[in-house]
Amino acid sequence: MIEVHRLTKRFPLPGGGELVAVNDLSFSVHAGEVYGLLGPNGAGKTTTLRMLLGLLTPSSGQASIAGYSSSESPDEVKRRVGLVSASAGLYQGLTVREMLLFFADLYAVPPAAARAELERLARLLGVAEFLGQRCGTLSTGQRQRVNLARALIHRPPVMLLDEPTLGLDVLGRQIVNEYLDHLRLEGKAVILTTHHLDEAERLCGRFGLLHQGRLVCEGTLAELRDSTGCTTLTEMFLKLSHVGRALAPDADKVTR
Amino acid sequence: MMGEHEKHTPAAGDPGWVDPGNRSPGPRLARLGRLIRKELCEILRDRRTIFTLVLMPLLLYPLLSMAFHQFLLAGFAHEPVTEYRIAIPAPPGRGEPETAPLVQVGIDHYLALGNFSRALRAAAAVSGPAGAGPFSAAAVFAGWRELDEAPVPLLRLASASSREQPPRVLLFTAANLEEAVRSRSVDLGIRVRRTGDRPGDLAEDWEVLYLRDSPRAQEVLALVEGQLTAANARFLQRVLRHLDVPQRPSPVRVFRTPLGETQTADTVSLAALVPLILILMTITGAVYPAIDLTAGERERGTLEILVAAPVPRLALLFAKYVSVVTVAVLTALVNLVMMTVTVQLSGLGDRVFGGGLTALLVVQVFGLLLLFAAFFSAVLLTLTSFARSFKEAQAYLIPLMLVSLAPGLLGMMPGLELTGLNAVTPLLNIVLLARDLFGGKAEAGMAAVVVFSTLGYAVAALSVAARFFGAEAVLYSEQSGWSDLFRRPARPRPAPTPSGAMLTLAVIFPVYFVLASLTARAAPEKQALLQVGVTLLLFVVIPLLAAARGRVELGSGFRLRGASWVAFPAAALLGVSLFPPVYELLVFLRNHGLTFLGPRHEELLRRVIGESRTLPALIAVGTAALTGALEEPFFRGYLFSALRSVGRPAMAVLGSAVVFGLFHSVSWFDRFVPSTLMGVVLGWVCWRTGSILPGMLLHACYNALWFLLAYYQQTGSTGSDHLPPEWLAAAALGLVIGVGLIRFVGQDSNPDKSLSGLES
Repeated sequence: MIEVHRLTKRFPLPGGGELVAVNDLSFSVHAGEVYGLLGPNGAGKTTTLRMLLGLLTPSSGQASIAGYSSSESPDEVKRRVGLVSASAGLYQGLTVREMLLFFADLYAVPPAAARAELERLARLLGVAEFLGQRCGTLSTGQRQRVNLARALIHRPPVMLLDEPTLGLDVLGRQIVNEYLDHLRLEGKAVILTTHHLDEAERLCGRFGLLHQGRLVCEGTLAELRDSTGCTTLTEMFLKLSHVGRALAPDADKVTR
Repeated sequence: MMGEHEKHTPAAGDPGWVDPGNRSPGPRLARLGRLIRKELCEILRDRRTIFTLVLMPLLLYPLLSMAFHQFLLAGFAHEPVTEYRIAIPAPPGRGEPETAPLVQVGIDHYLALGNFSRALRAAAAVSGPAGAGPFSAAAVFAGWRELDEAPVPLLRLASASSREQPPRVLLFTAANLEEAVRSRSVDLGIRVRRTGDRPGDLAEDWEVLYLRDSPRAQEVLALVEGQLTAANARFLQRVLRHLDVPQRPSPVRVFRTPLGETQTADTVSLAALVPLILILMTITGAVYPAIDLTAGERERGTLEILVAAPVPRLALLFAKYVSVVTVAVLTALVNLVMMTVTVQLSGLGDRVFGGGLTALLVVQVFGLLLLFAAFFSAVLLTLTSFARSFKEAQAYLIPLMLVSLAPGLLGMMPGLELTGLNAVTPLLNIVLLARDLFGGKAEAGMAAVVVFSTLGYAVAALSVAARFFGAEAVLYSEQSGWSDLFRRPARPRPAPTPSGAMLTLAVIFPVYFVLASLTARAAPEKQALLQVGVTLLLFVVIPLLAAARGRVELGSGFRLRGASWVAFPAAALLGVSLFPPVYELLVFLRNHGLTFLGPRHEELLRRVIGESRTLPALIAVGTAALTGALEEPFFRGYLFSALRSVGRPAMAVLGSAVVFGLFHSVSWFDRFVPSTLMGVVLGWVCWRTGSILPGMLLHACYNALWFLLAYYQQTGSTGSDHLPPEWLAAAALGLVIGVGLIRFVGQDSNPDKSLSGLES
């Protein structure tokens, strides 16, 4: 469902030279699979998701969703993707119901189907009691749940979740995590980036460990244990952060 | 890994509500409407919008009205009534000597009879306050006017011009006359001494005390002297009558007729201030929504999820644009209503607008505000789409608002005319047009130039905004650089983007207007060459540069493809056959009064045609043909391709034809309808043949025939006589054959199908 092939993104630096944010990245995610894209800050996770969605143009390589190229058919890709990002905001002046129906309309969901889906999501994600409330009055946890509902309102086959539990309390995280399980059962292809490694271990079937734009390890948890010699994701993550060059000796972050 | 097969064959599976087939314009328009509704809903729920929309105008206009009364109109009305204070010595033994206050005396009766001298004497006889109050000098003059030979009082002359009411004179008694004058308690002190030898003789010397440097004292002195001169003249007249001498006492009389500055000059400067205020309020109304809906959205993190939806960025921006324009227009409307109410209630209408604020004027001003809002909102969105935060947007807008004030203030200068460069200078042209509307001297042609150029700028600004809105460099500023925004596209494009074409159009139009004005002033022998040069620059060179910048492929972008050879004679036949119906259409319009061509313009046109006869026929007609052909690369090439890339053929044909018609109506507004129709034919030929080449021939033949007839006939293209019927019959036959041939050979190979869709 999701294919990433030799994807690279370079940003020019003010003083000349360039920053290689994503470097020759390749992986794939199948329907019904939750893929954990992990790595320290600045590893290139968010840039990868943005390129997947067609919001950033790759310097080279290709990304595609359901066979549609992100750079050549961005609208077809966007129709099939739900994006949840920790930095995503809400329209303060609209009520939750208005905002969700507005996004359903953007994705051309028929009004009757949109209302039915809204009710279903409201029940599942626990947003029913504040559907009539203006978004500006919601708490952080409520906002993130609304964001999740907003990303799911058009029933996308692919979900890109960029740190969806950031800033949430235990209850909020529990709701999101339960829904992620539900998504997998529904057969959606999901990419999850998170710093909550315990959650990732529980939720994701496969992992890709990014460091300085490069995919340094990929596989199931068992495969990663074998290749890294670490038992938990946290250990792998720490090892990656401190000895990244040892894992990826040819990583050349900045070229001048 | 992704293979070729996967790349081109979308995978099956639950696509959710993916509805790729739903691309008809109806639902798209409906969705655009809902996008607009959402934006309006959000912005109108914001209390800051409500403040600028309702509260500001409610407070502003009453305050401005007060300011008008206090300061601006001071020069019109001066003071309503001037009061002069004159003192005479208090009679001995009355009041406290030296320190006695001024005592007002009542002498209305004598002054009413016009006898100033008796009044003063009577006053002198009065002790203490009489309580009768001030007398009116007007009454004094009214008494004098009963006499035929009475000199016209100077003050009445003055009051006829600038003062609505004559001054009031208050008379007092003072114990110490010098002190009263020096301390400015009174303006004048008068001491009367009788000099006659016999009792009953009327012989007095008046000593008038006044402060040497006081202009006010000079005024009162002039008043008193004038009145005494009149009194003396009256006395002399009586003596002369008594002696039966027919001579009037003053052989020579002087009449003063003071003239103010031209009335319209005052009216215009104030009238220009009003649109400026309205424009500023419109700006105020538009600024907040423009920032909030673009930079604000980016700051709140909603821009990313918005552009992550499968809706063209241009559509998202357009919805925001309509919302900003709506709020700006609503603000303008509230302002206009409040201004009208204030002006009518405070009675300022006549003074500010000369003939008063009529309903038509209000509608016209509102139309201009709508135009201005359309323009300014687009400019605002360009800047705010460029900004990455609310604060950054504010920083951009402050200089813009200051820059906008300059042409607005320039527009208040009475000497500035709505011609040439001024007519295409943004904002200045609107203020000048508003001023001309108030003055009742607005011309339809110039108004069209203002409207068209302003709309052109609005479209251009919106095109630039579309480039910035949601762009990588703005959305992810921490990662992308500004240079990304101005980078040439990575891959060549088969057609220009609509925004690129509109931007090019916005550059071409003002340059065209200015260069056309300059060319018209050149000597006739140079005009032909200049016309070709200008046409080449505007419709070939500038679009070529734009195409190079946007990496537009020349063959497809300018539709420089080959066409069937039959298309060329067919096009030539159409060009020749189109002349009679277009000519008849012009005659029809003129005969039914649908002309904007004044006698002055008509004469000018005849002169231009007459001057062209000084050139050899081949050069004159060849120039006309060449300029016609050279217009095609832009109108049916660059512009047509851009419109075709986002719309149906009919839209591309009509859109390019209207722009073509507007261009040709700048110098001669009557040409709009025929030129637009001509544009439709040229666009149709271009679409059917897939090439501009037959259209170039058609245009050249049409121009050549038109100019050939104008060259050899006295009436030329301004004539109002019908053509012979056989010409019309031949033309109809030619048209049928031409259209048939083009339909037959002009198989639309549909090269446009490969063109990209809306920018996203």
